[in-house]
This record gives sequence, C-alpha cells and structure tokens, in this order.
Amino acid sequence: MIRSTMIFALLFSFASASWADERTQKTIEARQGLLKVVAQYFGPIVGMAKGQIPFDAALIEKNAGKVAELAPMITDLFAQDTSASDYATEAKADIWADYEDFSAKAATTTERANALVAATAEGRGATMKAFGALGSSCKSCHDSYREKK
Amino acid sequence: MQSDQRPQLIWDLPLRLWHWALVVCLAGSWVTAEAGFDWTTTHFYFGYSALALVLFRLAWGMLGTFHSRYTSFLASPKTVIAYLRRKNPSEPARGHNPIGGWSSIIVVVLVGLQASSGLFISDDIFYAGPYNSVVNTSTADWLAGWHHRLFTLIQFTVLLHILAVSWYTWGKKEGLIQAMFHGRKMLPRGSTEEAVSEDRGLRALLLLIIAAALVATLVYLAPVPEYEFY
Repeated sequence: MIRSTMIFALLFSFASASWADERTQKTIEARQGLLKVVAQYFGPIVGMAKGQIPFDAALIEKNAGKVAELAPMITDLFAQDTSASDYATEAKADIWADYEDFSAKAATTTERANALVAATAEGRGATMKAFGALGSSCKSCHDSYREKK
Repeated sequence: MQSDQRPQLIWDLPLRLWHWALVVCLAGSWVTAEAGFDWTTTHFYFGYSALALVLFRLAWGMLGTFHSRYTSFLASPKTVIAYLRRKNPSEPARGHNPIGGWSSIIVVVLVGLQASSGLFISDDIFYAGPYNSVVNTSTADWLAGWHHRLFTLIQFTVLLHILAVSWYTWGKKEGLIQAMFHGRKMLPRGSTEEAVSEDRGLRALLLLIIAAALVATLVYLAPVPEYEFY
C-alpha cells in the first residue's frame, strides 16, 4: 500500500511537472506568435513610412485597427510569470517585477494604435506622426523588458 | 629635442583627414545609437560613411604614401616580438611602430565588421539595415549581438589607443598626437629617405569617391523587403 502510494505520488509529481512545463512552453510560443502577427500588420506601414511601398491610408487604418485589437492580448499572455522556466525566451524577469509598468506600456500601445486609426482621416503627415508614436511605444517596452541581443 | 633633428612629413594629408573622419564616425554612431529612435537614420549614415572610410583605408594601404602603406607598417612577428622585448629605449619609429601598425589594421578590420554587420540587422520595430531582409531572423539576431559586442571591443581598442598615444606624447615626448594634426615628426637630419614628399591628395579624393560610390551602390541596390498583409 505504502509502496504503491509512493509510486503514485512520484508519477504524479513527474506528470504535474511536465504539465506545468508544457503549459509554460505553450504560453511562450503563444506570445512569440502574437508579437509576430503584430509585426506583420505593422510591417507594411513601415514600408510606407520609408517610401518602399505607396502610401495607403485605408490599409493603415485596417492594419492599425488589427494592432489595436492584438495589443490588449499582450497582457493576457504575459500574465503568467515564466521567468523561472528554462525555455528560450527574450522576455526579461523584470516584466513580473513591475507588471504594472509593463501593463501600462501595453495599454499605451493600444491607445496609440487607436490614435493611428483616427489619424488616417487627417492625411499623410498626421498619420505618420501617429505611427511614429505607436512605434516608440513598442520600443519603450522592448528597451525595458526584452533581452538585449 | 635635439638640434640635429628636424620635422619631416610622415603622415600624408589624406591619412590625417581619414583618421579624424573616422573619429567623427565612431563618435557619431555611438551618440546616435544611444540617442534612440529619431536618430537611427543618422546612425545609418555614420555607418555607411565608416564603411566607405574602411574601403578607402584598405586601398590607401597600397596606393598611399610610404608610411600609409602596408609594406611599411605591417611588421613580421619577429620584429614585433623584438620590439616588445627591447630593453633600451630605441629610436622613435618614423611611422607606425610594429605594435601600432598592427593595431591600426585591427581597428580598420573591426570597424569594417561593425559597419557590415549593421547592414543586416534591425530594431524589430521600425528600422532595418538595407540587407536585413536577405537574412533570416535568427541570423539577423546573431549579427545584432555581434554589432553590440564588437562596439564594446572597439571602445576598448580606442581607449587603449588613446592611452598609448598619450604615453608616447607626454611620457616619451615623441609628439605622436601633434603628428596626427600636422603630419610631421622630428627625425634625424640625415634620414630623409623615409620622409614623405607629397600628399597625393587628388589620388585620395578619387579613391574616396570610388569608396563612397561603392557603398552608396550597395545601399541603393538592396532589395526592397516583401511586406506581408499588404
């Protein structure tokens, strides 16, 4: 009886450890996927800012709208503290040391993505200015919370 | 200073201008890298300029005046070891001493690698070097890591260089720093064979134009990245 309890306990602890591991890995993969999708919507606007593709206010309105929908998912997916895991991640432990600041920065990104949607009605100058503001909000988070390469 | 010595031209004008232009590029790229977002485009231009300067220097090592040439300043390992081991203060070197010669080529190579690595990397948000889209993300990230580490190495090398020339200038009174401004060093009256008699300014200008044109072509020929969701 004791032996079988011990075996069960041992197996259970292995299993739960690997469940937790799997969950961590999934979370990290989901975050990376989310930010890649953000980058894909963001990319064409970068190309327009650089003059590599023609300016298209309607497309910027659409893509910035998508970014505004995606940005709130950042705090959903980073809520779990994965700083103790061994999975390769560029997310710094500082995120969870000051999650309030991290959340505030993510909220700024959402706000500025919405501001960019609104700015597309005001012509190219205003649009690009709003786009610069959105980019710098991305950067402020990367600077503080992303591992330097 | 002894009376049987007189100032003689060692560093041709293009080499001196090149040296100070490189100082401007390194300082400028450092400041603009730290200054953030709005300065990234300027940072790129400092990098392109540094790359053109590197190409120029590589050519000037063959086509410049005597002390600018590899054959005069790249000493054999034997000479370098002998220089390091010498006990008595030897006569000041005319151009680069055996250590200085190798250091100068190391700086040129480091700056070349630094500027070239910058062509492939991005800040993941807005700015990307012209060749960022031809490499995959992990390669770009790897190069970005080196772009940061190499700069630390360059800072260290520059610090060492400043300490060394300061020692030769104020400790050994060889006037090394002054020589990088006016080009002249005090040499014994008889040793005219190593003095430089011309600046070869026109040749230098042509080489610089070619180097700049090469870099500009490289940048303009870069493929436009393909944007998804467009």
